[in-house]
Amino acid sequence: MAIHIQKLNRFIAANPAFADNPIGPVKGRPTTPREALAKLQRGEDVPEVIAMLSAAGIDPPEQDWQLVEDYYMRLLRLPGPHPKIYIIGTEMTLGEALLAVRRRDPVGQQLLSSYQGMLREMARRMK
Amino acid sequence: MPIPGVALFARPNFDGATSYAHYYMDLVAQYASGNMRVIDLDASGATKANIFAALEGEDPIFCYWNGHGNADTFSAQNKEVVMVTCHGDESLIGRVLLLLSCSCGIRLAPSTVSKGATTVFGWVVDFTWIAVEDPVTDPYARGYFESVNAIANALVEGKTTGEAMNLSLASWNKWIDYWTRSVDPYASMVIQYMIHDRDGQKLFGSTSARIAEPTPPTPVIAEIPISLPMITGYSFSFLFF
Repeated sequence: MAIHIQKLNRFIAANPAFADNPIGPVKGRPTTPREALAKLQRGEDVPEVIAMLSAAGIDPPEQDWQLVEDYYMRLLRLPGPHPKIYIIGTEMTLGEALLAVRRRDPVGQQLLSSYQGMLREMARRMK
Repeated sequence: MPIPGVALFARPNFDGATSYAHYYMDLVAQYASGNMRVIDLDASGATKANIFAALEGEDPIFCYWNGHGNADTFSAQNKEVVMVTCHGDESLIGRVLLLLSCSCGIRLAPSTVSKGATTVFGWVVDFTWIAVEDPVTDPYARGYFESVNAIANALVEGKTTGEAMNLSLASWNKWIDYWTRSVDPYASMVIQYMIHDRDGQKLFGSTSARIAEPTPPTPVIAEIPISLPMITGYSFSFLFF
């Protein structure tokens, strides 16, 4: 377990932007690297956290939908002004992005795909 | 035969999204005008008629165009359709095109190359970024557009299309690393779409084409301590002129 704590500490210090992004589910709940670290430090859900970290970036799509939805919910809870998401010819708010993810429409699919790209980058940096 | 050293910019400006590319492309147009003849179709001037008139009359070797698009369509000011797959793309024979538009890399860009365009840079995804302020002051948008502008800047300096692509990818990676180290609460959003745009950026056609004669390296009087992401786009003009 010590090695996982060390790895997460190093990852968060080097990549603070990724510290609060859901990276995988622990007992069905989207969990960020910072939350995973806290659980390991408390000795809570240790096998589940370690399993989640091992599977980071290669989760099944159904699980990624849960992560990306949780990600936009977390962003909406941050203090404003919230950035807008621009696509040439259009723009959307964080709330609209969350709705698109919940509807799993073509825009939601693109948001999922973008989030999966970031998950792979997080997993690569965590190795 | 397109004329080396001539560039055609088309930069619509009719909504929030186009206002960002409009601003950042202006920086490249100014930079390019130091080394090329630039025809700049700006805002309401960025119409289909003006674009085709400039292609015919000025015969530019390089086109840097922004506008709404999809897999088969590129449009300009007020979403006026300029070309669709197999219609209009033949007018780009022998030219290098940087098409900053959503998803044109899926079919329109390869089709344009198959009709004889030398090189087309395009995206196989919807080009996406985040912003919270207007284009001049926004902290988030800058890295996206500087990374795209890195293509145009490199070409203007006489680098090959392949070198321009590599410099742009290096710029994306520098910006991703920059934001990864940030504690800004929205940094992960910036990174998410930078990865999306970087991975969706494609070069079709020749990797060895040039649009201008290579310019000799400018003598640097003293090291200027500016981090690398700063040394793109308009910043170049402050450094070298």
